[in-house]
Amino acid sequence: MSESPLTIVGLARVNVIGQPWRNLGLAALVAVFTFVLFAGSVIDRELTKGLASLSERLGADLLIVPYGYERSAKAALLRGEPSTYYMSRQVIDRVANVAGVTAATAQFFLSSLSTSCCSERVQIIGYDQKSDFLIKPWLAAKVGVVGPSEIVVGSKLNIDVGGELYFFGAVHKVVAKMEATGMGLDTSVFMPLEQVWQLVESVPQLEGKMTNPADHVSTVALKIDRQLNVKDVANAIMKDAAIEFNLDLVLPDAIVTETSRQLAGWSRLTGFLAVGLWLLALLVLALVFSVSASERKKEFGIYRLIGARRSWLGRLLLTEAFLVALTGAVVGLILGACVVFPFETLIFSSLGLPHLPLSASEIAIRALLTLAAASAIAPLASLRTVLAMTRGDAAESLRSEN
Amino acid sequence: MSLLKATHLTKSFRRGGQSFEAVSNASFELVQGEFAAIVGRSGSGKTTLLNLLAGLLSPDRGAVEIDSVQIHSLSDDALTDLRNKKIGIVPQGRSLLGALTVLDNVRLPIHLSKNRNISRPKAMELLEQLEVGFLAGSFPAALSGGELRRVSLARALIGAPLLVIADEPTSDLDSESAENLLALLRRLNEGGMTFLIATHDEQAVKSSGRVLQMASGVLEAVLQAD
Repeated sequence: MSESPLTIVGLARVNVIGQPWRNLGLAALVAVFTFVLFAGSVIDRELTKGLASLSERLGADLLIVPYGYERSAKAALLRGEPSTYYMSRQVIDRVANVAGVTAATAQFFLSSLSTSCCSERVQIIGYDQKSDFLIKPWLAAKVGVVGPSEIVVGSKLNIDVGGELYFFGAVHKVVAKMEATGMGLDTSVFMPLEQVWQLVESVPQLEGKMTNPADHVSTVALKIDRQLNVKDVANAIMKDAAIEFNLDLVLPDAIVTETSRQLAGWSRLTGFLAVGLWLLALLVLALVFSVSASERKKEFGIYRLIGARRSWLGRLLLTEAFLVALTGAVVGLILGACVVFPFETLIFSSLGLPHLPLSASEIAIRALLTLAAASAIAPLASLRTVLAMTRGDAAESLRSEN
Repeated sequence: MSLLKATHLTKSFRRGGQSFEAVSNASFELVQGEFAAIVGRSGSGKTTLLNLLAGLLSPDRGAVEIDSVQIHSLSDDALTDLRNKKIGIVPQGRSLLGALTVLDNVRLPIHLSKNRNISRPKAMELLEQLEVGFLAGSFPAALSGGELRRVSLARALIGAPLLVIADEPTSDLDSESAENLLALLRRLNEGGMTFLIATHDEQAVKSSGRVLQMASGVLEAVLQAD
């Protein structure tokens, strides 16, 4: 016969196992709370980091896109949704001369048909190496001039510097990889404007193929004099060039503000849900422990009869409650990790918000805080029951079943 | 030497809005090594008196001394420790913990007193003496009433108490088992252990050196057994 542990933890374990369905139900409730808190806080933090990154390094004060493509530009920027739209290259010179514009750089968007790296289409972005101020801030290492058949890739593309990718039948060598941006740039491929124009020329089957691609660009990003109001400059551009070139304007700051608003909504939702579930778990556990303590009065009387102090009984009850809460918390954490990490791409693409992954230590801190919050349910929920046990004679407890 | 001394013990309860004295002004003494029985009809106050003597119930008036210690003036922890070390109790009805095996039920009081090393062999020895050693690994739900009583007695004896208080120890036993149990109690009593039992059993009364008669909460007579 094996030695059974007649310790508080051993007895608590035996008692918890002795009521499997009740305790499984309680643990499941704690697991749901833990899942929501852990998954919610990880997603929330990743979004917050993504937003901070977006705000810090967005680069442009104003984006000019063809009329009707404002939403596509946002989708490409935030989520990396491949899009293809064009306007005349003359727009660059026209808007660069508007008062208050201090810098202008153009980009050309092209969706790949397929790549060796990706099962889905990726966004190819042609950029002007001389005037660029959008890509450079994100480069992990300093890069010289990107030559013909050379490319820079976003952080989420599964290829390293020195690797090769095929686009439209041509081999391109990866010469640099960007830092994680939390935005659509992470899944994009970057090459000089001239190179992407050549690609367009060389692909006869390209949908919506234009003549003289070198005369076209997709967006023009502008930096505006800090002394001036961006909206005033935007109005000046609208007057001067918008109708002639059929343009739309995107204010990146507005994207940050909108994203921030969406993030605040998400944070509020997860916060309310977590607090609500915490309170619900606390209430249900307290009720169940209270009812259970009434049912177990005789059992507690027996413990007292054979020499268990009230404080010992209190510790036994707390340990039982803690074991239930801890089991639920661990299951909730594992479930949260199993849902958030493998499916985060899906989750964030459905949210349509920029995000940056957390480091292992950030995840560990969140896991520990979640465990602490879940475990705190146990002593709080059993407090009333433990206090109730400090009243009354042991004989009354013993008599309760008879 | 007096091991147990009850002085003017009184305990009232309320029933149907009316107060009644379950134990009224009970006084008596037990000397070490005595074997005494409390007899009386159901509801006469025997169990209440035993609970007062064991410190499981607080008296309204009066005092209980065990081994020269006024038990009801002790703190709850001190009284609990005294009960664990000096008193073995066999209560009425089922009193084993259903989640533990028979062996663990018997060992638990020793573990509560932190004297763990001796618990297992001693518990097995007691279970063997009470002829239920074969049930050591069983759970209480699988035991008959008589087996439960014997295991409960083994648990009361595990700490080698000065005083054993047993409430109807033979109530669920057939006459042969009751006889064996009483013989065991007598042997333990001859070894110096003091017993106070509440009983209706004539054999138990005959085994007792002294019989205390209770009626309506009043300890009416103290009789010497034949």
